[in-house]
Amino acid sequence: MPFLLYTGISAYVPLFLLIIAGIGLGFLLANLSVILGPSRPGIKKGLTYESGMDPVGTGHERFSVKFYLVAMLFILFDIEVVFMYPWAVQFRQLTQEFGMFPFWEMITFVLILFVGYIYMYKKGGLRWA
Amino acid sequence: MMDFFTPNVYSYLAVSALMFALGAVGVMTRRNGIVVFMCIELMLNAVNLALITFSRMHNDPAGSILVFFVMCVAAAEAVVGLSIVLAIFRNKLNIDINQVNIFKW
Amino acid sequence: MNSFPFSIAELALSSQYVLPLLILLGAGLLLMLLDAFGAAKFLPWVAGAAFLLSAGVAWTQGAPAGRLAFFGMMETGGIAPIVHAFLCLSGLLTLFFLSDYLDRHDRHISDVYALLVFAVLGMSLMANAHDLIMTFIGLETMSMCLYIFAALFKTELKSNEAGLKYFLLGSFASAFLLYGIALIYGITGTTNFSLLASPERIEIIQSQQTVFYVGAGMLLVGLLFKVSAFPFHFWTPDVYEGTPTPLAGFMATGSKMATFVALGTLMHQLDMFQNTKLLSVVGLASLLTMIYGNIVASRQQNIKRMLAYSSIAHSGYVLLGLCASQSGMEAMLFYMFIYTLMNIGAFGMLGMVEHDYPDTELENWRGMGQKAPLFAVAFSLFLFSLAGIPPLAGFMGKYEIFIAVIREGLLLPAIVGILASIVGVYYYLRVIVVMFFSKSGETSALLPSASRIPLAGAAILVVLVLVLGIFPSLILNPITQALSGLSQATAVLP
Repeated sequence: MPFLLYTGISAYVPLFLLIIAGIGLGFLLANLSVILGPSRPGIKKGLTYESGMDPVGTGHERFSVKFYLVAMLFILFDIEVVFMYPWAVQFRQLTQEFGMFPFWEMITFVLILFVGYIYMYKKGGLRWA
Repeated sequence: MMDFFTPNVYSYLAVSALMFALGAVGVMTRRNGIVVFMCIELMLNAVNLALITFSRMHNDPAGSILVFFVMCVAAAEAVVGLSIVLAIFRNKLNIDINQVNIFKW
Repeated sequence: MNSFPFSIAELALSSQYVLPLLILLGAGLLLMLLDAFGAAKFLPWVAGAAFLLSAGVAWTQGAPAGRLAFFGMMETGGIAPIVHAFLCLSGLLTLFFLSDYLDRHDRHISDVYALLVFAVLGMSLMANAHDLIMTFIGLETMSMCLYIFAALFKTELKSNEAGLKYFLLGSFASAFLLYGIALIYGITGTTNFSLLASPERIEIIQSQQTVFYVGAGMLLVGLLFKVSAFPFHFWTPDVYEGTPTPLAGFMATGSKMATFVALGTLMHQLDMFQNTKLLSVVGLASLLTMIYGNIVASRQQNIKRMLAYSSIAHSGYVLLGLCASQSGMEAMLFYMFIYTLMNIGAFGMLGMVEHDYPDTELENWRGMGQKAPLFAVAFSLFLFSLAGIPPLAGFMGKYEIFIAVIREGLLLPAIVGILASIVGVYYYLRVIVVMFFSKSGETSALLPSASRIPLAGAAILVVLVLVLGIFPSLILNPITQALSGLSQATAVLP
């Protein structure tokens, strides 16, 4: 079945080479400094920020719930854009055929989303405090 | 090159079925509400993969359109689900679904 | 010249066909805006008016089956307008009990009205879909609102738990449904009901039987979950118990009606009446559902949980009716309509008494017959009707179902169903006995709410249950008329 345009693994050989080179270089550079550089550990050198502030608290601090709230609202409005892609790809042909109708169609869609946005804003979904 | 590496319809479907099965097993065995939810998302994405494969196979856009809707539904589900989890977290500070058991059988 | 397979005129015509749905959409958006700008006290009225208007427009829009809108996506003829009107009615009836319930619980959640409208919109989309894509979108629109209903009281642990349970299990089930859709799409290359029923697609299906069975089976799992049929029933009592009572009544009626109609249409379109393997699976599920629901319901000490198990049992009767082809579809719609009336009535009146969680314990209802005689009589009427006692509407519903099943030659399942419903009489009667014939204890200071609106709703429902018990043809005739064209539904596709 002629299913994919670029069948066969050969099309990906340059990509694999690039990945191997990238990983190799990363390992090399990270370890090179350990091997070549002098190692004289001390209390001051063991600090997280050698000449900065002393770190406070643990590294696994909990985030405020509000981050999740904003992230959730973001996802909700973000995903709607997916419907605009096919519309945008076909837009030129659609307007040639139907005039401004497709444009107003998408405006209607966005307006419905906008009602949701107003609702969210008025209900305090974006208020941080 | 070996033919084994040549992707065809069946390899995509196999990956999709595998993802779906993994997600289903995860839903049934995991005890953390968020992880269970992630497994459900995995199942939905398995369906997406299958749909896109079929869509390409039949050369028919309906499957891809359905994928858009599934993505949208998954996002809405994420919002509703996380809100419920947050409400539980605020009340109980725990999201282990074994501990959410005030109802008797 | 036109390189697209549609024209603007066609779109305009389609929009006209789906006008009842557009009314609901507009009303939902309006409700959100009104809510956002703090006009909370008008919301129930706006929602009610929208339901009435939408149901009215749909009712007058009757057309022969096969009037498809939006390129075969939606069915707008045949039973579609009637189903839409019924679904609007279930939303409207819920409204009667809802705002009073929220007020008495001191939770002024004004978002719930927009959600109710959107839930009915989703139900209608799903029930009247003519394409699997539409079925899925409708189902999810509906479910998303129902998840929120289950978790509505967000500071109450019971409600949280109901929400989480329903959400996780519900999305698990819809993932199955979706995989089923994907498999069916995979072998046939279409999701449209008309095309699925076309001869060449049926040939493909017959040559790919295994994949088709897996796909259709997964589709069934998703739908049977929503109607809480036997192997997928376990969420029902917990979710209903945690859900605000009037909304639990809505969940048990509207969403089930929509799912049953979708299931029935699908069974017709995939021609499962010729394909006995899938049909027997549905039949077996229905028998087990009836037996399980009735037996477990008789052991409940909480009226709300008892009603939840009873709703499982009722799903069993309706599923049995669905197995009986065309006349079964008619009996199913009629039964679901009656069930909507009596079940929203029962849940609504239960909610009128409820202030706190233990208020639905059977123990606390002792002596209700002496304290609030009219209330208790009305509540008993709904219970009698649910039990299927003769002069009431519930009896006519059961009668239609079992007659349809017997006419189809399924004698043994019908006998099992009748026996199961006799077991059912016991637990409904038990509540009535407790209300009227046992002395009131010291704990039961329960009194029903005296608000006018829920009382009016209960009165309307009592009248409807009485009248439809004596004149069932008032509803049965329009259903029969609309259904008479269903068999030609596959003919037309623009």
